[in-house]
Amino acid sequence: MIDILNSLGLGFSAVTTPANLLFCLIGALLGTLIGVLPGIGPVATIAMLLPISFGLKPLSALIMLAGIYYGAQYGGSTTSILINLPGEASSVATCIDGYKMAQQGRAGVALSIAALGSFFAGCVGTLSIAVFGPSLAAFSQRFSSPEYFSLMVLGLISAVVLAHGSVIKAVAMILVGLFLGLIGTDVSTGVARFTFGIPELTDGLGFVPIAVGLFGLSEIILNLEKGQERRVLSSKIRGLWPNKKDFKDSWAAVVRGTFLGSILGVLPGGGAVISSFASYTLEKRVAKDPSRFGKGAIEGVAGPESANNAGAQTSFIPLLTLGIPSNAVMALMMGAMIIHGIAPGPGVMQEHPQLFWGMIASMWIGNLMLVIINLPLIGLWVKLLRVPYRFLFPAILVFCCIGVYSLNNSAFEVGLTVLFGLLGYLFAKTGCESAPLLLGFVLGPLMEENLRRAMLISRGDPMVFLNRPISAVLLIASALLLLILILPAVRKKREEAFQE
Amino acid sequence: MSNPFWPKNRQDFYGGLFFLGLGIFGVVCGKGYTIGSISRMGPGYLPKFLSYALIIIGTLIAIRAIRHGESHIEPCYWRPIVFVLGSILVFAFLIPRGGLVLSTLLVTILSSFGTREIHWRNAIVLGIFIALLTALVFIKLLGLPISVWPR
Repeated sequence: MIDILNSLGLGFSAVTTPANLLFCLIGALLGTLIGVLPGIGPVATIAMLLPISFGLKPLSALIMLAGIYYGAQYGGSTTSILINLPGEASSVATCIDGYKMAQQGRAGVALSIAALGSFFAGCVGTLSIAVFGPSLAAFSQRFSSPEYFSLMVLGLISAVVLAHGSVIKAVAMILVGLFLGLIGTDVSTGVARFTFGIPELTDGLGFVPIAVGLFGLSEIILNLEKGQERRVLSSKIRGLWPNKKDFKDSWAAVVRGTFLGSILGVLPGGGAVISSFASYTLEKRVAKDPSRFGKGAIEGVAGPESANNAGAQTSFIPLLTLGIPSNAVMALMMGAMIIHGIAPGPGVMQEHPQLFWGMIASMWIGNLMLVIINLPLIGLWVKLLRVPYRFLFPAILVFCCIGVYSLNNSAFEVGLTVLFGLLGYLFAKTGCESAPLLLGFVLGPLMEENLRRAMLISRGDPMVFLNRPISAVLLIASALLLLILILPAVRKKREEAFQE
Repeated sequence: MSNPFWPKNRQDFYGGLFFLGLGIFGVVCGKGYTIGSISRMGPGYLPKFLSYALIIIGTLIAIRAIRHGESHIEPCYWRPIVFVLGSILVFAFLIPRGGLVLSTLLVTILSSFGTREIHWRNAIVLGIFIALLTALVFIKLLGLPISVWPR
């Protein structure tokens, strides 16, 4: 306990420099901004800003990028409540009851409960990273290649379980991602694979062009097709502060949502989106009168909003302690760490304690900033929503272009972004999710390396994965997950859950 | 629609064909890489494995889609695709020599044609605004090593 306090103290002293506080604020504000604006999410934003953060100190860069992720959870709720349009996928559940509350003239209450719930969840999430991070990192010191390989298998399979839509297509998308990860020079033998003599491909496909193309460009094209229509609730927001009854009704939902989100965030493939849906379903189950849901029940806002923020925080745990990203945003954070010369994994805590604890401390400070700045600024965000999309999207495109280009000053990578933008568009049309692809792409090279090393050590005996206890447990868990997924009863349940 | 050979689940059918195609591409283009053995995997070991996995799973998805489930592909409109992607291609060709201001100006104006809702005069004003703004933010404030004007 004393250790944790000491370490947190180290973290807070690392963060509370003017520059770091500024970047924390910038990240939180940017996150809120893109959370409010539909059509651009944290994945595309972090990908765009990755090259720009190159010039910053590692800690400042990571603080800012992390701020974008949890800031987006705050911002997403604002649009859900006020205009029934989720700014983020993780706020879809909030729309249902949040917008109803706004129609009943309780928008202010909904907004502040969402913010306060998020803050509580953020505090708990930060604390759980501080408490569980070190022990998990210590445990993973015992890992060698077979364990890492099995862990990544488990990660990819849970990504399938938690993906929306078709299971088999999610598996296929992971394979596509793994395949794209092969492109470039093979690390162990130096053979150039699938490069077709293009010199830019010898180092492999860039991570940023893929992410910006799949999540940024395709999203813009799809939005333009739909033709965005926005009606901002014109009535003034009155009575921001919830009354006693509101608190009494929602505190249990906040606690449940926080707990659920914290757990789902750690799971590979988990994160903010799944947490908010799960929490909404849970609240509906435990409610004495479920029929109130969909008609402005405050628990339907408090639960999911707390859950998505808790999930956003705890999804940092696997990245920081095991070096394995649990979702697309974490895959980007991993890219950011590598760009700054930090190898994600159990070593981070020992080799860069300031960075590790500084990041955790920054999350708490960022959450505090968000509560303080967000409630008074709601009017400003609503005004921003009135900026028509037709003026917004060219600006987003320009940022995409400059972001990708400035990474390596490579026009080729800008071209690649176009290719992946088109692919992402086609994936959307055929109902294939891009997130598993990105995860596969990031984990692919790591998996190949660990598989090869494991096979080399065991002289080609695949039983090595089952003879080592930790690895065996991980693989058995993966097999069980797959088996459960195939059972028809569970499949139906899962479809129901996503439908709600 | 009553044609029994026409796939009912269009989304899955075309998705499956894509996976199948990528798998075949991997097998054909990855022919030259040494496979090696399980204890000493060559550069071709995993590509081959993944390609065949893609072929199998793609075929499965496509075949299942002929009878199983029902979905259709929502109509695609060429306008946003051409202008959004086209404007970025123009940026890619222009940026090495044309400088930041000219490139961003063109991206804004061209991409604006991706929607019918914007008048070309507004697009030009918006373009000038964004070009100057990006030059200020990215060159002056962040100091990116990109030239501002054509050379």
